[in-house]
Amino acid sequence: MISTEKRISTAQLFALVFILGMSLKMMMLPVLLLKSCGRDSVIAMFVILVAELVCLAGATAAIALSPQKSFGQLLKATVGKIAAKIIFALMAAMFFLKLLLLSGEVRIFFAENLFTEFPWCVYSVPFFALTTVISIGTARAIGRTAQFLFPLILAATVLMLFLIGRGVDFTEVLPFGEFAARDVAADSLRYAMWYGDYSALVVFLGSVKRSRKTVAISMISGVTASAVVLFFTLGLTASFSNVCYIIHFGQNVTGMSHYALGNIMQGRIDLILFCVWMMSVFLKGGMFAYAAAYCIRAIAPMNRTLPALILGVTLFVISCFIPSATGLHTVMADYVAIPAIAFQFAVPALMLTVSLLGRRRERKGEECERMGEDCEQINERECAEDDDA
Amino acid sequence: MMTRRRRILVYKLFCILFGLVLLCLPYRGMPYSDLRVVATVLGIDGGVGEVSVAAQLAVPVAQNGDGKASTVATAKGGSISEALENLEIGLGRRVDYGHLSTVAIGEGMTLEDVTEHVSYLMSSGKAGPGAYLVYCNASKAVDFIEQAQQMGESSDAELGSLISYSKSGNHVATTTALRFLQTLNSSSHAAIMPCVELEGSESDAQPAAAGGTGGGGGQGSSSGGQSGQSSGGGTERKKLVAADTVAVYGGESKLPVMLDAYTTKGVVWQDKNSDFGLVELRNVLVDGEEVKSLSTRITKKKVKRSVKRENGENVMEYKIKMKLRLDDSRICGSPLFYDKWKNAIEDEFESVIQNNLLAAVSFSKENKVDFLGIRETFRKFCREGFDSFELDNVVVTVKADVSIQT
Repeated sequence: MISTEKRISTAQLFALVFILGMSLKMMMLPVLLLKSCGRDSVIAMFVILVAELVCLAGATAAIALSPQKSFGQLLKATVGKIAAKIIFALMAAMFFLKLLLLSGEVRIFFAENLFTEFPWCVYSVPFFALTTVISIGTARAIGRTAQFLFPLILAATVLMLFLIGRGVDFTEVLPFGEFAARDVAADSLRYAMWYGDYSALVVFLGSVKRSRKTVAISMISGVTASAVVLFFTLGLTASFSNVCYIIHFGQNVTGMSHYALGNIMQGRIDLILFCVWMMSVFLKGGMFAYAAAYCIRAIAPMNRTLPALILGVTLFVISCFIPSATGLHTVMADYVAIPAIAFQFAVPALMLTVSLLGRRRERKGEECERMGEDCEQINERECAEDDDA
Repeated sequence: MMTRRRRILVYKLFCILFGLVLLCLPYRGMPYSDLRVVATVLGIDGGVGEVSVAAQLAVPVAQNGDGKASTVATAKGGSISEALENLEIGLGRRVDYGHLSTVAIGEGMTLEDVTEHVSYLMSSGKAGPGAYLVYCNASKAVDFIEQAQQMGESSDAELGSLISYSKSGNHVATTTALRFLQTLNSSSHAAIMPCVELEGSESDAQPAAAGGTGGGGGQGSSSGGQSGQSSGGGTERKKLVAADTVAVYGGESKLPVMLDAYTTKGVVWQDKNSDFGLVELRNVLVDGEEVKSLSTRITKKKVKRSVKRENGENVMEYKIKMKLRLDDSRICGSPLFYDKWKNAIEDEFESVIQNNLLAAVSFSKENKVDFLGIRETFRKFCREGFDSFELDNVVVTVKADVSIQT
């Protein structure tokens, strides 16, 4: 059982959920959907966000119901050690791929907007180092960091969205229905690796100081993050609905804020705001790295440092072999989409299942203690009653 | 378990290793500030095969008090990308386009070439979506920028300042690169571009504020921005003028169609983005008395378009609601103002708005260029009307509601 002092508070969970729900999805996903689905990208994004909120509800319900034990303990008690290790291996692989995708997005942003003349290592290696350091830490350290940075991230987000809201003609989103619903759905599912990020909450199972409002506050955070993403998607789609061909992969919220500023004589304040906002992306990368390291430690017990270092080095080596981040997009969209869809729904479902079963076991154990009987005797009596029936 | 000292040692080794890797990595760029210049205005002439570009550049110079000098560089190439590359080669410096505020299109550029050049600038990231587009009414863009540069010492931001002020402080039409392409690629297939010119060239040297003429039918007018500096001790005086006309691309013509001042006002009245600035009535007859000039400033403007299918016809209604603040206290101080003049002046403004906008609609129908975006509006809000859309058969009504505040 995790001690109370090492658990994260509800406020920290709020910040973590907001960052998980927003960061990666505001980088390239709206651009990818716009290029695939045109105006219907807004509808596609809405459906994606609703599905994500369902998964978030499952994950937070699991956190609220869990008997203050870690996911690893609960899973092993439910399915056994060998099956648990297989599941952890798959989860580690998925979290690593998410981290790889996130690093690719960071690489595109810096390469297109800020450091156009520099090799990618200059800005990617510090990112790898950061995620490695975060993954060595504890869940509480991540929670406290998120809580500390959250006001800055929120302020930057609000300012950018305020700028976008001022300068964009949202009627340009209309009309919907340019593409068939089946095509929109198929294109949306191709980018499954870009969402389903609430699965990372699995590492916080049993590590949250629960209150009556834990689920409600988490859902509010998730809904807010989803609203932010949808608003940005609306702004981007409204601005580029007829000219999808000119939009490039570096075009994201910073470009939109720049456009909506309306007066270029004010300089590139949008980039400053975006650099502040980028802290959420770095933190999210750290969460994915932490989750992957957590799963690796569950497979083979080791100290915190070794799996983190393995992840960091592997990330760097693989990135060296990726010629461009857009090539990474193709791999993620073509080969990993289906596992990503399964992962998105399977992890919260698994969290909820092991939490409920663990809670049931715990109650049975308490009942045994209260009645002062040997639990085996109770089980035998129950089995005999079942046979009679 | 790694001890704290050992961990710190690992971090230090990592930092040293990272520094070594940085030193060994090749870099492609020229990061030094004295080898870079910042382009603030870009002018383009010609089409594929021969493209000329001119860029107004801010050059970081340490010696000057303000730390900045400006210059104009020109280049040619077979395409716009080649021309921009030749610009850098000729300068011997890397040009940064992150602060590009305005793109000037030279006179006579075809629709195809404008689309090609602007699309390239945006897709390559050289021009941001908020860069303004202007059309050089009576000159090539290269000549225009060169002459504008000669106007004074600190004219590096003149054109950019003029356009950005026009957008926020003047009741004239402005457009950005993104908005131009967005409307051009809509179902209306037409877009406008405000004009700029240098007064003192071949064109008529009338002030840009087009005055209304005639009795009761006074024209509302905008104040075209003027920015001028005398060039040296000669008698010739050049002024940078935001002309009160716009160039319309689209329709059947490859070349732009120029709207006159009267029709341009119609375009500006229905533009939601033009919601500030001076609007004027001239030579207005109010209750038998002639008011020579009546200046007001827009404090609030709302434009609403509604479309519907009525009795087998496509009907579009403009509802323009404006609040104006009287600029001239002499008029509002008159005891006649509230009794007789206020309503009459408001009615006069409403009449002007209707006449201007309906003139713009007529021009659009006659020339078969839907620069008001009527077809696109039907596409967004009335599918039935869009399916049977004919620009000539659209019935357009204008309802203006003007309220003058003192």
